[in-house]
Amino acid sequence: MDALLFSGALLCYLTVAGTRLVDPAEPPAWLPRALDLALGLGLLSHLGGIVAMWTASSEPPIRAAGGSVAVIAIVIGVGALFVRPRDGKGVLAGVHVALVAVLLGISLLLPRTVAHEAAPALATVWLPVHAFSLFVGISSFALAFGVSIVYLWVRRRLKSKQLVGLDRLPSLDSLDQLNTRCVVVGFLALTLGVAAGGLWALTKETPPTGLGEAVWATLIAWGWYAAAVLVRVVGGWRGRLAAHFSVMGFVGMLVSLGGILILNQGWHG
Amino acid sequence: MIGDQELVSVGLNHRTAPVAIRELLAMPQQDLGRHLVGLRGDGATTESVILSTCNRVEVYAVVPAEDGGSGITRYLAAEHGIRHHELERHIYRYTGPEAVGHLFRVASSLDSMVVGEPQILGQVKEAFKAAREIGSLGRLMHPLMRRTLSVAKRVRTHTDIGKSSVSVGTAGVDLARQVFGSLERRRALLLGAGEMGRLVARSLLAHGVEELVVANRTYANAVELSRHFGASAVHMDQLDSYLGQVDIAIVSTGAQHHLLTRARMAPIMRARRYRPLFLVDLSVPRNVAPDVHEIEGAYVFNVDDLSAVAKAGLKKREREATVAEAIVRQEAERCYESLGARSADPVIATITQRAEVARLAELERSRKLMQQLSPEQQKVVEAMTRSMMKRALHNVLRQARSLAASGDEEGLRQLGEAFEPEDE
Repeated sequence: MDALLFSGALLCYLTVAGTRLVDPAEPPAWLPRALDLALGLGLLSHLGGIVAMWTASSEPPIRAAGGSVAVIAIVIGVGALFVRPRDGKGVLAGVHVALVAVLLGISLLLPRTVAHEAAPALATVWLPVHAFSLFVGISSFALAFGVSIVYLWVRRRLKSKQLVGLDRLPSLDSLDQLNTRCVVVGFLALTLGVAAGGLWALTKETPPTGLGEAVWATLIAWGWYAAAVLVRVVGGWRGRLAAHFSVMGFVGMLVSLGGILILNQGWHG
Repeated sequence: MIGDQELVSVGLNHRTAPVAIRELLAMPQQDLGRHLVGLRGDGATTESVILSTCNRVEVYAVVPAEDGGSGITRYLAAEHGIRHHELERHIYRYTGPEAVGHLFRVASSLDSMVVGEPQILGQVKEAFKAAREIGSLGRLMHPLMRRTLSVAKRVRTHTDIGKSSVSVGTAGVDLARQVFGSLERRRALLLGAGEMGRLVARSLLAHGVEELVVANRTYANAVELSRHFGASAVHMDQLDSYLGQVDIAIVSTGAQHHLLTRARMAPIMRARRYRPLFLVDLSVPRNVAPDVHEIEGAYVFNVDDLSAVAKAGLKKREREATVAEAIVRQEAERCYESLGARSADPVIATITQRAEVARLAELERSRKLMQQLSPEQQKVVEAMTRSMMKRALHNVLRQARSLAASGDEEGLRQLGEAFEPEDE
């Protein structure tokens, strides 16, 4: 059931992303509304798939790799709705929805449930705080990544003087501000997630003796984005440098956390 | 034809008449009332609106069908001291649906010198207001003018006809917006006093730039120019300091060399922490070295770049104009048809009135019987007779409107006569 709903959502996302990014020369008047409707349908179907997974396994679908990626993807999709009002003709939405589609596609290829029962240690209040904060953090960095890609694209067009048709893209300044906001929100959420994860580990009957790969990867990501916030907010550096920070940070996070998720079949093995 | 009258549009514009003729015919806003009254007094029009702008003088009017608008030309020639045959050489005249279509095209800015320019709609609104105030609008021109405004609005909202830049000034504004988004709270510097620079500065100020500072080799000239813009003047030795502060710099001097070189701009941009600086170089030869554009945060555009944007904008507007033309054509046909149907109004009023008289007479004849009914029953009978009358007349009134719309005056007259009271 969840696979069917996810496939439906994927179809909607691909339609939205494709149309937004291709930008037909003379779009009919009904197209923007139809695309918003398709995005809404996609998110509903996506949510339906998550609920179906949750119902089938009687636990939040965040332990398995596929389930986690699907949840992260929907948080990005919802975040994209908040970015939409500053997005003029919807190019940014196209990039974000494409990212959601890619992640949802990956989740379809990964196992979405785990065979073994959840350990009793998982039944603590810190786990949902830890998981939710990290998912919000990762999703904010994903949005910052999308914003930065568009920033670098607009900047490149301005620098290479490809000026015709630029008006359908958001301004550099608004993209730069959006990037900062996404990174700051992501950093705060990541900090909360790391802290909650630490408290969760400490409340275990047998606290872990060392840090696992996922913890190391998260701490490295935290350090990276701490530097990004420092450079932007304290140092006042913006624009291309901030965009590169966001792009490299998210790509690094995607590779490291993605690798860990796939190899461990879950976050913490 | 609408009854024994016709809708006409008589006038001249930038394509048919040189400025020497247009300025002779131009009518200031305060004189419009006098001319509207004059046209009616002369018998040239029964309803009219005058649109007088720097590019056109046009009279949209309802005139006797046999006159076809020639009375308007005679009036204009006499009032402005131009020989009638001389004026006729520059005048165009549209009648019926073509007149309606022309008015829609003008208001939608499809007939403007710069297609899609927004001022014309405001000018049409002013003309409408002046005519309404003087009472020169009637049952045809009033709905026509209202429809004109709504068609122009539809064209604006359903097409991108007014959205792309078509001048160097607006192209500069659009590019600055691509960097900064809103221009509010932005600061600009105008270096030099070149005409193009002034043009861009004026556009930037009109689009919300908060502060403008003017620098010039001759400080007195900077002071004079800054007064013109309500800006402040700065000395040339303060230039680097201001380049470190402003968001936009417009360079338009007569210097024959690069005033802003990479060596000069690099430390300025570093001090700004590469905060974007939008540089518009409108000087020929260029005053900003091309490699300044390579510095992080510096965006340098010259007159060719802005012209390319304006040219592309013009092409886009032309494409949009074909969509707009289709809207206008369709609306003009529909509007003229509905205006034509209005000539049935007197016949419809007569038929309805006569039927009502007959209904009341029948009720009167049955008064004695009616008095035996309760007040509620009387009300029911009253309502029933009214409803029967409406149903009986429905097809007749529709036929009247259709005859009027097709211009069949004879058919309409015969239909009205069919409802003449019989001789006692």
